[in-house]
Amino acid sequence: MEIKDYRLTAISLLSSLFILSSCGESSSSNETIQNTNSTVSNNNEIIQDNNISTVEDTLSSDFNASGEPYFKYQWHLNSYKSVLNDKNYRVDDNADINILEAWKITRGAGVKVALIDTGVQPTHEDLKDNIILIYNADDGSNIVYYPSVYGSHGNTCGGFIVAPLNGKGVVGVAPEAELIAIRQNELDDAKTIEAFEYAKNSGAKVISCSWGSNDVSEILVSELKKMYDAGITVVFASGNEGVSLDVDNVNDESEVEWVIGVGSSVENNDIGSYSNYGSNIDILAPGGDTWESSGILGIDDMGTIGSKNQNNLVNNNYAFTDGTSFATPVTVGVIALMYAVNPNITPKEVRDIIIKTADKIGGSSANYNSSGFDVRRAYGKINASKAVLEAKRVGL
Amino acid sequence: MNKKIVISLISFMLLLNASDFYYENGDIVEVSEISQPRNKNKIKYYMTSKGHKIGVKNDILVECIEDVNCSMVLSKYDTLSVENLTDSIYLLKIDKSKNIFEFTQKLYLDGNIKIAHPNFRKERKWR
Repeated sequence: MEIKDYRLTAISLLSSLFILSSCGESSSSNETIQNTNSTVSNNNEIIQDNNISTVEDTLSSDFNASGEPYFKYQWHLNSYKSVLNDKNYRVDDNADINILEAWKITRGAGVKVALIDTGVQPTHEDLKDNIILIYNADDGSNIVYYPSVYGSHGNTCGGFIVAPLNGKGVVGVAPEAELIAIRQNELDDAKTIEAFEYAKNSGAKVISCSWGSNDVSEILVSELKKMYDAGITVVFASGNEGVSLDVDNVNDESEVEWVIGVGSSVENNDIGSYSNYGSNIDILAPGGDTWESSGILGIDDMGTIGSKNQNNLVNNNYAFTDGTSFATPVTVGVIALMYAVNPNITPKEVRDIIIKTADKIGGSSANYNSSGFDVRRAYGKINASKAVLEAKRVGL
Repeated sequence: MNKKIVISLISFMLLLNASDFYYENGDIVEVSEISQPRNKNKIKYYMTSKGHKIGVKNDILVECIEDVNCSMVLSKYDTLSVENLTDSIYLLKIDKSKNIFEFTQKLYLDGNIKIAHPNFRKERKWR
């Protein structure tokens, strides 16, 4: 079992101790662990001293994720003694992405994130405040939501990135980032290229793609290179078949050199059995497993209609789910936080940082090589706080 | 240019066998039509020699090599329309009576063109 590094910084440690003491109870309560916003400062500076970063108090007084009713179930954000363990789901204490320290530095304000997916419900209570643009790349309209029996996959993905802190439901990884929601449901390459161009021309710094074909077209690879050269980080999901992508005749979007390929970690803090893997997949992030545990909590793909995956814990606007589709927007949220502290980092630097700062999960089952790569677990699981601190450091 | 000559010879030999194919990263990918129920979008479906299902209509995606006036390059081809999708990527529509694979092969073998393949409709999986 991996020991979580709560000691990124001296102040982080002091802050954590303060959390425990000021709350007067153990950190087992996710509802209280965020109640530490005692000092307000507008200064977002990180001071470098002998490779130890110290974060001045930057947590605004009104940022308190425990005010979100279902934050306590969002183990991907805070898994320490998760209350889900009291509901007969097993969640490892270290299964989260170590976001709490990152949120003391930034929540992604000012960063534009594009989501190319099936569309979103723009009126959803946990999306509407952070959606800045909607566009339908299939027909050029601004109709991006078609409620149906299949729901809208994009709803869930969008929520994992930008669900705001608003006292409702859940919170996204980058709750102050701005979402450009692009519907691109038709499958032809020209429409896909148009979607990427719209994202680029709208100022997106990072693009979330929770889909793939196993057969990426040559011209789409060229377009992805153009995104990379333009300083935009594109992130793709590796897929849910539990297979290696290192086989003949499989050339998936998630394996393209110019993108970040993402697999899923799950509640036991190891790779999910369904997560595709391979030598060109870069990182894992929580994607949940509804078969083995609770799944990861986000916005319901059916929007306000609601599905059947509420686990008797949340209302119809939300649902527990699983898949590399959701590990991808979690990763995208972290990258948005990185861009917030350093808008000038390149896609190569983004990849290098998240790899360098990843947590090596898997315990004795893992076999990381000298480059830090394990064939199933890639470079490990994303660590938001370390990645944000490193992104900030690169900019100094 | 030698590469283009070799590819041309291979292409010519394959054309003698009347096989449909397209180029991808310099390799030939053969395709066989799959019988499908009629669809309103009039997409024809094929299985590639790599085992993937692709759909095509009468449109082609093209990217020229750098520093070439691609509009001028494409103007010599018999197209219904040429649309500039990005700074360097173009979408061509051709008459439905033409064999899209043969047309695409001709484009690919043009020394000024880097990429040319049908505008594929592929099976996308939401993950």
